[in-house]
Amino acid sequence: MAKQQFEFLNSVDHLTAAIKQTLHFIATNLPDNPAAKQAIFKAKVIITELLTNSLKHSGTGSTLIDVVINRNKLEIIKIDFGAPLVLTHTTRKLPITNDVLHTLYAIQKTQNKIQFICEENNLDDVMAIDDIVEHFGLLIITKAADNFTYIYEPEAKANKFKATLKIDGDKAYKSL
Amino acid sequence: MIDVDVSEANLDNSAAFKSEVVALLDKHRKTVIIDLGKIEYIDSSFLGALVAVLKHALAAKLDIKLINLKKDVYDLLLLIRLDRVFKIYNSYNEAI
Amino acid sequence: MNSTKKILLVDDNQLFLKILSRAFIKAGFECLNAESGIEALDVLKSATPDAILSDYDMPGMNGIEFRQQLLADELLKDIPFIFLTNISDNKIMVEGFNMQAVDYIIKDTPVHVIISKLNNLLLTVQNQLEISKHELKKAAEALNVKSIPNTIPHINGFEVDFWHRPYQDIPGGDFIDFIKVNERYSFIVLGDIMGKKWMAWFFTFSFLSYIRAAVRFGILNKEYSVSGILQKVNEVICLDDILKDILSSLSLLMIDNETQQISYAGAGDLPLLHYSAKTGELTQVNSDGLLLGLFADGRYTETNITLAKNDQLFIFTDGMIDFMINGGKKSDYGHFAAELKALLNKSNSFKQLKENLFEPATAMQVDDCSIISIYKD
Repeated sequence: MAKQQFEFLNSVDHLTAAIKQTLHFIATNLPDNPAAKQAIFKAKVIITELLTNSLKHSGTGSTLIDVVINRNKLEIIKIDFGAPLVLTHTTRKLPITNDVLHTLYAIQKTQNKIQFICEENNLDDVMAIDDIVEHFGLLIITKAADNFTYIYEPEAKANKFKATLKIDGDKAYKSL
Repeated sequence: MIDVDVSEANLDNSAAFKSEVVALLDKHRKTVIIDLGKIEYIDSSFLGALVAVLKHALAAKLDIKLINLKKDVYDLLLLIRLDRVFKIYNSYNEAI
Repeated sequence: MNSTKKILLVDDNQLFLKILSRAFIKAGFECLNAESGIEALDVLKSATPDAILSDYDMPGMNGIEFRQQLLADELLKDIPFIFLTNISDNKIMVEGFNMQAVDYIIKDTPVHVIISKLNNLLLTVQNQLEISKHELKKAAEALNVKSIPNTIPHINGFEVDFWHRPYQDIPGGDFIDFIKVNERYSFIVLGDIMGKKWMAWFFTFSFLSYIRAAVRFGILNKEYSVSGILQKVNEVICLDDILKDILSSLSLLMIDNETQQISYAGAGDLPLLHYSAKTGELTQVNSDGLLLGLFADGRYTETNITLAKNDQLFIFTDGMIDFMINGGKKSDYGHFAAELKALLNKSNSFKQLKENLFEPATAMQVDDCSIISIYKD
């Protein structure tokens, strides 16, 4: 198992460097096969979106990224100490944004845990254009990751976004 | 047919991009071709703007085509399967 | 499905709650208790009861307000709801029925009668569901409309087989057809309509009609191009008032048994998998067409596929690669391809694949599953 924490200073200038640093760690700790390459690509997308999200929303000084690599799982956890994420309605499945094919929902699992999921929709499930852009990053992370959740830890006043990627060592197939 | 040249796709200009293209579409142009050749990486704000623009175009029965996508940008669209809803071409000539 | 029924009881009177829940538990129900509307909503975040019995008159959020909250929630509004009340005022009863409460029970009613009423309610709900499903199946059979064929086709030089399982035995959005146009040409059609279960099923018939027409007209006009046919299918669907808002993916293959060539055109479908017997490798065959129904002038391209002896080609829908994870759907094309390859390296009997790969996955199924296999003799 490999584990490391990276700090992102919530500034546009630091963004590229932070992404590079984190990806380098992941690349050196994964085998060199097509499956790992796919995972690294997805990780890049996830990390970029997580950090951009921090830039937009968390407000406070810095963001921490924890990377944990197990034999068959890669976890990327973003931790910040800004305002907690609160769903405005008590309904169970809250639509947040959509692209043409899928709608992203947030499900309140327990008081401090939210699960993000994607579901198919038809053309007539249209959301106002402005709403689409606002949270599109969360949609991308949900589609890229195998699992994406948000947990609030009240004792530490910490917001934790966790994206999990399965790494199957045996994925060997060729693309045309 | 109108070309839209975009050099850097990020947080800052995604809103501007969206309004510009929507305005172009509203002028009843039949097709808008968007050249993404200079973009190394698209972030979610820009992608969201692209999707919003697509929905607007679909509603108005207008056409949108993307050309000159770099590998990372194309791979991202593949990842979230937006290749099923965006017309993507390798060059301007292929698109017309 | 005869599992234990779960009831949510909402009442600010602790004693009443205790008495009622004890009686329900004794009668074989599972009971969840809440002393207020707010507490009940909290309970509903992690549990879905088969019915809700709520007091009418409660401090803070009263029964009506609680019912309103439930009606505003997609996932909660259809749970059968009963008001418990001390008041036998007609006016208030009517207001309650306007909130789609299934019934009113006056608290003075003996507990065993309350339980009886609830049992009847639950039985009726279950029966109605069964009746609807049954009627739909009967209607489909009566009209002789099927979206999945009954038999496998015979094409010279190839062995074609397929496997399909609808999601929870409710017909869904997948459709398959084998069209033998003449002695030389046969077509294979696999489609997947996006969207909600029953609705998707209704549209499969219209889609299939257009596709069959386009294929036959195409051949009559001596147009032997799958991409041309796909183009025509897309055009008419975009013109059809009802179908144009429905999106569907489509894989269309034409087999020429004189040249033994397969040509393929796809619209928003998953890449095909070509298994080479000689090298044991699995290769993707991609298409670049957009989903049907999106743009009327969408361009489609075709690919020619040559299968060597003992090679196999697989065409399948999303359901084969989706699985359930923590309340959401996840897709993993790579994982499916890897498992398929591993099994193919041992044996390429479709029957074996069915037993080892397709059927066991049923428990985790989240969508219609369809897969077609073309084996070169």
